Amino acid sequence: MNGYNNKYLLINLDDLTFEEEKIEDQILYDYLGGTGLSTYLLNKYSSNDDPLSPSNPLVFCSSPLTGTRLTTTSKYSIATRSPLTNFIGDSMSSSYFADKLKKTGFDALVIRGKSNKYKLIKITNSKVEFLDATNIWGKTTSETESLLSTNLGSDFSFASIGPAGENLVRFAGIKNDGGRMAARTGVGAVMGSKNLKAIAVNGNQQIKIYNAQKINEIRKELSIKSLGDSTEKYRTTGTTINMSLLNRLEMLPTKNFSESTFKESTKIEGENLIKNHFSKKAHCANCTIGCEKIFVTNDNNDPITSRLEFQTTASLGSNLGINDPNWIIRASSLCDDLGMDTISTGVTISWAIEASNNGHLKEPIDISTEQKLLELIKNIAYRNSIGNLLAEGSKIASETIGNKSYLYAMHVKGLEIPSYDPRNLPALALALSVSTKGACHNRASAYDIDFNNKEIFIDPQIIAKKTKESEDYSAVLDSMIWCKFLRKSFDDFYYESSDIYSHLTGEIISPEKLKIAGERINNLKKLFNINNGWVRKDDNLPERLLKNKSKKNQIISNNFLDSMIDNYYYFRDWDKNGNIPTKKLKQLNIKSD
Amino acid sequence: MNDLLTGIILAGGKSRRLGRDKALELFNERPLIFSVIDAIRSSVDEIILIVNDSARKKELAFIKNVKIVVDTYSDSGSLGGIYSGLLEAKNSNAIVLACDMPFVSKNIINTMKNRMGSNVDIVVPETDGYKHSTHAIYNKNCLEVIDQQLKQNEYKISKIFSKCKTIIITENEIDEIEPNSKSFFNINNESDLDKANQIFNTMGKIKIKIEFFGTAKLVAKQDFIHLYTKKQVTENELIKLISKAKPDLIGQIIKKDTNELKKSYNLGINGIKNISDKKIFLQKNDSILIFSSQSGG
Repeated sequence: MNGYNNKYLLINLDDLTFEEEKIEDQILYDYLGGTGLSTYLLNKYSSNDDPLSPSNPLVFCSSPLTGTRLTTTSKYSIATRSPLTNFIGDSMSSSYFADKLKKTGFDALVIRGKSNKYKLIKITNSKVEFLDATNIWGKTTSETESLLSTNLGSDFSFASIGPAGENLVRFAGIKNDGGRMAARTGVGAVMGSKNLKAIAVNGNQQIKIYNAQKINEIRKELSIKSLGDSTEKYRTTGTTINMSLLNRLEMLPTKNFSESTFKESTKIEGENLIKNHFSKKAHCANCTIGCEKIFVTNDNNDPITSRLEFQTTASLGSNLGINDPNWIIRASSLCDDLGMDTISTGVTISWAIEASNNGHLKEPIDISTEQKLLELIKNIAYRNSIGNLLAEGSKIASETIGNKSYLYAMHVKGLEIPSYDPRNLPALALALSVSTKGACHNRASAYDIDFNNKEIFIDPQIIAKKTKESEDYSAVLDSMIWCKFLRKSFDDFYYESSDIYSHLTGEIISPEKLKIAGERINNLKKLFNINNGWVRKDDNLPERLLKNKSKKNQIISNNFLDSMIDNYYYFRDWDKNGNIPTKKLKQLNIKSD
Repeated sequence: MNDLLTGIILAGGKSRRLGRDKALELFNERPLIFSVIDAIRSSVDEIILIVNDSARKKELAFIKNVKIVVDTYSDSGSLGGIYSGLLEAKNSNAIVLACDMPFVSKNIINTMKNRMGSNVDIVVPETDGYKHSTHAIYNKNCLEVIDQQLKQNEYKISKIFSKCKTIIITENEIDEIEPNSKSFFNINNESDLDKANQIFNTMGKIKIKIEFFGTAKLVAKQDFIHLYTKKQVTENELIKLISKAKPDLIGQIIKKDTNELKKSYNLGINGIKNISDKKIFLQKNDSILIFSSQSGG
């Protein structure tokens, strides 16, 4: 099919071999690409073994839009069984790596097995090499990229792990193109478990486009649209300004979600960062929006820069009671270099602080100085002393030390909760609890249901229906792949996406069929989880968020969440226990074997 | 007794202290005297403007539905005005008001009117130990006493109170009718005029807070401002008010026509309850939040 390479690489690191595998048109049509196709390939090769065992596949997948130079489409998706959740781990990243991967002639890489020695996979136009990575093992992500760029040439793009991935930190990410990271669900630990340090790609094959002239026209129109009012925040300030609003609304996770406002938030809110720490803007490849904002420290120490998002400023800021932007910039930069998710890092540290304060953890957790904070982060990446426990993430760590320390572990299914306090954001609360990858705010973008309607819905039925629709919509967005920040630039997302898909591939796909593809993808993710032991009680939120009585007029309670989940299963046509009836799988053309 | 009341407005001429004609000074975009006329229009069946001379009478001739009367005793101050008005009034009782009182209260006038029994000559409110003689009701019975005083060149109005049957409306009573009443406020100088404008902008209105987030906060260079508004406003009116207070927001946050926010911004009342109704009902101390419509991050 046009728009695709119609094949993927099946790599076996046990014996350093690879095969080219064809992908049937029907599979591409049904799963589109990105998170859809990577889920399909993960499911196809899944072993149900331990996530850090060699047999767990690590899938890298581009999308039909990757390489077309349509704005924001230089993106790729990763799927694997997550070492944090034991369910599906999926994460996304963007920029040149995505384009160069697709232009090697493969739509996806499925990596299985484990090499005896540290390896680097080098892929050019239909050529695959396994290179020795001993000299870069142990290096940070920026050192790795810099060394590889010198050795292999700056035409290559690299996806690599840092020390955190090497040391199997369960929330290690995979970094690419200097500043981007597929950060969540521990995909970097899976890569590390295979002794795979990096993937270098440099393809330059043309992507076949069915109606190139039309796609060209659309590219121009979409670029203009992308610079409209609906991307203003991302273009001007970036996401760090979310903090001031969330603090005002009493929805800013503070001190491990024990509070919802942070007294000193003005010091670390985006408006202040922009006034006193802004360095420059950055763009992913082929992106007209340029949401990336690079901030710089302004104290007496050597200046450090870091690309900050709201999630990082909150998880490493208000969530830890930290009020100094310089600390946050350095901690964020360190996490990037070590190759670690800032959300899980922050929320695991905040768990440890509370567990320690309440006597469940013997060791004191001291982050009273910047040096101590940075030291603790390093200890996690290298699994030194208490860092070895924290490297397991809040769920496994709390299960390890037992007692009631789980009360302070702010995760869903093992994935730490991002920085939106869901107590009064019911759609987000539902989405976090039912999301197949755990507490992810992006796979449903359900906070948008809470924020952008006339008022917050409090009818569990309405919330469930809208959340289900938003999840399916997001699955299409993440499979095509469009950037989330572009979503509001479309007048009619499904119509325009189906039009573009049809001009690109030459295969007509109706808006309705795209919607069904979104539903199919989410059902396959769910099926993967069911095959890996999912039960209804896994769809939940930490007790703290359901029972905290200190918050006035709290919407979310145990019963309310249960009711939303019941309704959600209903709208998904699942049974009362959240399982998928065979009939539904058949209807969606999902093969259950 | 006759329930009907005549309104007498002392509309002398040029004010020495303000340096301008008080009656015709613009207030709320029209001559100040109209504020007084409007305040009593529904309580009286006749309005008499007392002026110094015929030239002044011509000046005020454009005012409709009033009778303009030249003072009988020239240069006799307010007391002469009261005398001329009462003499001319078709009713036994008349409410006498100065022309420079922008906030005369109908409620207070009506209360005073109700206190004017058959054996009462004067009803006068008193605040801070001061009797508001040009905000009082007089009966024609006072004519004789006033005439005697004027003939003796005694122009102090306060002197007639003890000679007539006078009822005082106390400060406590006034507070009950209308707390913090500005009914007795009059304009003597420029700063009084500023104050009147300030009061006007807040009277019958509620104070609300406008809070800015993100680019709106950076552009406004402030976290929030306070505004006075009617309780019931349209989104359009509210945006216009904000535009007036913070013109820097126009173009970046507010559309150039100042009718609505740009698509990139949301307006929330006391949280993220978004305003999308045409009419908004506000309460004192409500907060209007202006924040990005892009919630991602």
